[in-house]
Amino acid sequence: MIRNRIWIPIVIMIASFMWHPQPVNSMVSVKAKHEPNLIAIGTFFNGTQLTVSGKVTTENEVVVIVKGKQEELTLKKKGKAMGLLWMNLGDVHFKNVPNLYILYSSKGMMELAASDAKAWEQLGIGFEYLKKQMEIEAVQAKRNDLAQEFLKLKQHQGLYAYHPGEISIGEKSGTEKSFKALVWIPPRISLGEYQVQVMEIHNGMIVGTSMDQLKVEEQGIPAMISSLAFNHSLLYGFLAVLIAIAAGLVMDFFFGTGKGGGAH
Amino acid sequence: MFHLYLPIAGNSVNILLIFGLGGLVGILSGIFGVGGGFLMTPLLIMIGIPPTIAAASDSNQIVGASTSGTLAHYKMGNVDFKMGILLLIGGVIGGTLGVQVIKVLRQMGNADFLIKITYVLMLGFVGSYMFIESLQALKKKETPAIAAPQKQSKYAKLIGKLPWQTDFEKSGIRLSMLMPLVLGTFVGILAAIMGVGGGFIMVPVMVYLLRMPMHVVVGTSLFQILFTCVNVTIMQSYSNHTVDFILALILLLGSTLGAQFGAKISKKLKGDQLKILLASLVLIVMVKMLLDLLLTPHIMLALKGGH
Repeated sequence: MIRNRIWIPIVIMIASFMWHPQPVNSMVSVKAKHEPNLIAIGTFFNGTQLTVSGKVTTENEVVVIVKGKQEELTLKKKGKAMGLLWMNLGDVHFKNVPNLYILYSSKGMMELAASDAKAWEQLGIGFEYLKKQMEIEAVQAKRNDLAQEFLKLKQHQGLYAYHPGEISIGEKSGTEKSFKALVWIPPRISLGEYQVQVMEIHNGMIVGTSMDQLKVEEQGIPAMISSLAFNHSLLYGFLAVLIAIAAGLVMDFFFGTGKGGGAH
Repeated sequence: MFHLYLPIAGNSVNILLIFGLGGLVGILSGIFGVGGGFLMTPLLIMIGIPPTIAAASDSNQIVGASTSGTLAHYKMGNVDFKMGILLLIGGVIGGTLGVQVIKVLRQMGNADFLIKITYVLMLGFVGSYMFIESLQALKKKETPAIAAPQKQSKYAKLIGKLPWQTDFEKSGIRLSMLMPLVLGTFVGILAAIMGVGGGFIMVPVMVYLLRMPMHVVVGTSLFQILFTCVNVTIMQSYSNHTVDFILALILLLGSTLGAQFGAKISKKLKGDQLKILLASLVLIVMVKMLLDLLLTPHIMLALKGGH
């Protein structure tokens, strides 16, 4: 009998781990759309704007996240050698990090972030959450410092960004209000598929969500060059050399003739 | 406005900025007979090009600039083909050896540390020596011919005893064929370890160890760099897909133009003036590298590759 009772708190503990605070059943689908659905990278591509708009319940807040697929990344860690010289000291492997993470939020979310930093982590969004999720393999270094530096590097590249309060709220109609986020897509974006996620938030809880795909493709000259470089790499190498030599000859023809003659 | 997307680098750049960078490095290349990779690659990384792509595309660009520069110098009678080919053969052997040396260093760990220190010491030594030597030569214009041979007679005797002596007409010297082969190998090893074309080491080697006249040194160095960079461009395109042709092309337009002006400027300057300018440039790069090593970096992580 006594042995049976010991199991009770254990069962409760396991049950509490499995229970998820998000009210999954009451989640609604947010009415949202983004424009365009396909980002075409052409010759003059220099980043672009993605418009994400839709409607949510009047008293709720909105978060828009454009997120890339999870990747693994190996970077060099800088450190002091001999206590004096800064240089690359070994590799650090980052796993489970998205290749793009751009977050826009409505004004109310700023207040939430200011008053309760933990709330963000519980929602499963934001940089702090990314920090928790990433796996880091490194020799003798503090995990938190590395995670922080990783976020810094990604933000410096424009691939991670947080724009608090930059979702504009439009007119109310009945119980709903419209929202619009002008999401800046950086020129450094890689080709592939991305997720555009819209979250509706009430009292620090996700009450509605919508998920859609965004495609990034190369077109025209960039697509041609990429295809040549990756599928016919030897030919590409020879062409690159030949064109370079030709450019050198042409320049010499236009600017070099006549004046050079005579040995030194 | 004026932005162009680079498909291999995966980023967009300002055309005018890249054109200007190309022009600047082309001028230096034409004046001094160096490829300029040591200058261009860090600048490209600074404007957001991934390090491996910056280095490989730069070598593609150097092909164009050195074609233009070699031709310009050839017309002035400044290219010693015989010497250049011998140095090139040595360079290929040295490069192959150097890649193996790097592998061993990587396995031992601390390769980066060794490379950086070699780089700074090399630049510091070469730069200071050239600077002091050419400064003295500029000051005592009347007497350099008397002072120099006395000092170097032992070295001159030694290399005079080597077999396979042959005339290098363009340079106006008689040397053993072993000299350029061995020195070319030595520079090839260092260049492979440091991850650069080697123009910076090759020029002082030709001036001080092969005793070639400065103007022939510049033309011959460019001739040799041309072949080295053709090889690097094809190899990098084939095995690593790191040559961004659009980037290289814009750099090229600037650098080939710059190289022509550079060659003309070079012609107007005297050998010692050229040496002292090159020495200053080497020393500036050395100081910049030293500062990078001493100042706390802004971000503690970096992308892999590059010099």
